[in-house]
Amino acid sequence: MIDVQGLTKLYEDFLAVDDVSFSLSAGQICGLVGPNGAGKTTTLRCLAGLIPATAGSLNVAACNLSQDPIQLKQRLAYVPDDPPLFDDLTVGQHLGFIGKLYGVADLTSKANRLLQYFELADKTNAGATTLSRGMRQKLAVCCAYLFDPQVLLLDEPLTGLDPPGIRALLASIRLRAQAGATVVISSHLLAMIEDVCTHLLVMQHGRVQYFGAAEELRARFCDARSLEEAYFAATHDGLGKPAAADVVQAAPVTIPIQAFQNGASR
Amino acid sequence: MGWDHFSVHRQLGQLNLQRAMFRWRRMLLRLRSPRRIIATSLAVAFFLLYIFSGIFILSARQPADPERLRLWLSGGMVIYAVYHLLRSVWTPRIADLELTAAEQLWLTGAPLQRSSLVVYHIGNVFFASMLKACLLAVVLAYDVSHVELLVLGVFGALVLLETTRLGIVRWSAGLDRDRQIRMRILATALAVCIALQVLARLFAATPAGSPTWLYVLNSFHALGETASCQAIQWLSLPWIASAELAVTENYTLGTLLSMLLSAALLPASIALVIYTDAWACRQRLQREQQRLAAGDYERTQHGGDASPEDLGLYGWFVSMLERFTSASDGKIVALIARQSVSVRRYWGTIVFSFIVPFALCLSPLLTGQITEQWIFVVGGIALCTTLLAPPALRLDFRRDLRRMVLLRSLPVRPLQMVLGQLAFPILITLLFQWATIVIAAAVTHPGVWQVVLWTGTLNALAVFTFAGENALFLAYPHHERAEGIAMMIRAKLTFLGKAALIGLALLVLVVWGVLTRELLPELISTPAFVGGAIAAAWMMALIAVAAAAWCWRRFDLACDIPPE
Repeated sequence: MIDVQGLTKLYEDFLAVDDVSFSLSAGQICGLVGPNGAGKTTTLRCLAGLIPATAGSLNVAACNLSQDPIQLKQRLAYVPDDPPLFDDLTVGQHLGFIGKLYGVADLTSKANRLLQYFELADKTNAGATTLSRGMRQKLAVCCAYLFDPQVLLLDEPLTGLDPPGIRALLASIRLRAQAGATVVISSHLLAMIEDVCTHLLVMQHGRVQYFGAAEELRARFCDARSLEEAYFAATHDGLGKPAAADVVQAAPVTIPIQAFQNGASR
Repeated sequence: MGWDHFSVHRQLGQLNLQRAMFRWRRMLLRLRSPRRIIATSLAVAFFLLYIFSGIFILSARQPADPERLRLWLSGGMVIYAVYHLLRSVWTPRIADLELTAAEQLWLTGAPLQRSSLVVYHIGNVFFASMLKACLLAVVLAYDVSHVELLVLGVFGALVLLETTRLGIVRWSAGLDRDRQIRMRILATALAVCIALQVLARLFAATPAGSPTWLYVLNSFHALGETASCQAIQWLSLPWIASAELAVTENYTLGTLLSMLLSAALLPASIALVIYTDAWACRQRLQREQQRLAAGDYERTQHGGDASPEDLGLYGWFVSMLERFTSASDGKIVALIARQSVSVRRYWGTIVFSFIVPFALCLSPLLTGQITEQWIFVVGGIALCTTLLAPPALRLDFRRDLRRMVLLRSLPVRPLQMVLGQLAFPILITLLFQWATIVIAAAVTHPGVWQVVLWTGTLNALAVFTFAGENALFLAYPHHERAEGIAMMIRAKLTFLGKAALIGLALLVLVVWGVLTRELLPELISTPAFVGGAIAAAWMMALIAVAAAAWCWRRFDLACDIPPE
């Protein structure tokens, strides 16, 4: 369902993703993990056809990205971290627009079911700007589920969700996979996604550190008691770094100049 | 080049309609708040005044020659297009069809052809273009035989200009570094040629030693003549049909032909934009691939934290500020340091934005009228400070609507925030003022008191303008690239407000001058006049700064950020 070979992405003079290859079949759920700046979001955006890959072959949902991007987008849904919504549309109008754009049959009942499931039914007529971060995330997931995509790419979908919301989302992801969808979830909350992921793709500095079944990663690092520890071992995180308490005590509080700049998130 | 089914365009049209309806309902809901009542009353007053002056005052003048009107319309569009070309090649930012973040996610991520996105973008300007055409029709109605054709012609010309602009922006985004530099040279040369043509016509039409007002009057004529010249008219071929339509005297077969041609040019220009966009996307990808193949890249990202040492002249400026300011001013310095990064990034655009005002302000020096020269230079500086500097230097709150939460979370007092945000735009404007005044004073020798008076008051005007502009923005915020009727009315109202303020200030200055001369002994009348004028100007400036700080303190993150 997803076959990526040698995916490489260059931003100006910076190599964000370097020769990434992996394959996932229908029904598999892959956790895409890695430290900040590892190239996770860039990988997902390339897969979603939002930005062109500099090199590599991308086959998603039986479509080649470079040959048939429109068909690919018809079969794929991408939910970014903190999804931007149309400020001047209501929740219901978002679903209505997406439903019509993707030609969803039985739109109203489907949209209502999704809104009920994600506890947004009472917000149908609310403007997007009145929604909390978690509600925005849920609405974006509803829009993604609306047209039953064969491939789901979720970038940090748990951020901002309350515990019932997380539980509902993870359960829905499982159901989607059981129905035959391929799911990629990028998340830092390893303990949360551990149970749903069948596969893990660990990235660091734009490269694949590990790809395979989640259990294999744990088996590779025998000392690891959890997937999180296995992940740390795989990315060598923590080695040679000061303890968090030391950093807090030592670092002066400064206003980072670049925090204000317009740079697009990668 | 692929095209989507008509139903897709219908969906996108419905999206626009739903969004417009939402904004309309939101506006009606908020209409009852005092500041909205003020804004609405001003807008209604503007419309009434505009229509009244169009019907009763402008209709009393001598009607313009339709042929000249036609040439001005088509040639004017070319001059606008050259301006967009110049701006585009000098702007480092690469805009992907100028879509918002939501549009980028939901539309570029949807199964839509790029052509649909271009059509969607152009469709967004239809309403605003129609309104602009209607407003222009109020002024020009008396000059043409058929107002409906005038509206149609101007509307067609404006939409074509917008597609041309979008095409230029996308084409510019596809250029590599070397070609961009070459295009910068070519576009600048083209603009200089046009400017020289205008100047040559101006000097040919105005006898040497004429009063400066005649130069000002003739400069409009020279601009119109240049727009009508053969070279510009050849370039304006795509606009000929629209211009012809606008000034049609009688309905004939030719009118129908102009109408058809004008209508046909729109899809043709959209197709050209789509082709250019595809080319630009391919070019960018090819460049990436070439860099990858050549190994011309880094594996680690640079430029994460900019320290003052990395910022060259601005860094030096910031470090000097740090050295000579107290610890409590550190917060302002931090805000200024942050602004300096933006100034460094956009220095090319900033310099370009000030070249024309600089030349315009100094142009009276060529007239040979010593007394008038100085007055016109000073007037030019005042006009540039109030009208041209604020849009050219959006390095303050107006650029930070998306970052208001971050700004609000900083432990900085409102006044410190305003000073930190406004410091760089004001400083750049002051540099422009000082440079112009020094040159003009060196040429005209107006006397020390004149230099002191105008330097002091114009500097205060710069502070007043930016503080006022930001106070207005914080009271009525809008997104950086907001367009449409509201923005157009806002621009007109702001212009009228500024013009009225300058007029009022001049009146007060004259009254003050008369009073000091009449009431005070001759020895102290001049120092009193100059000192009083400067003190009053700075008092107004400080009030404006305080108003901006008040507006920032009152800025409500929950409801003041408008929908994008």
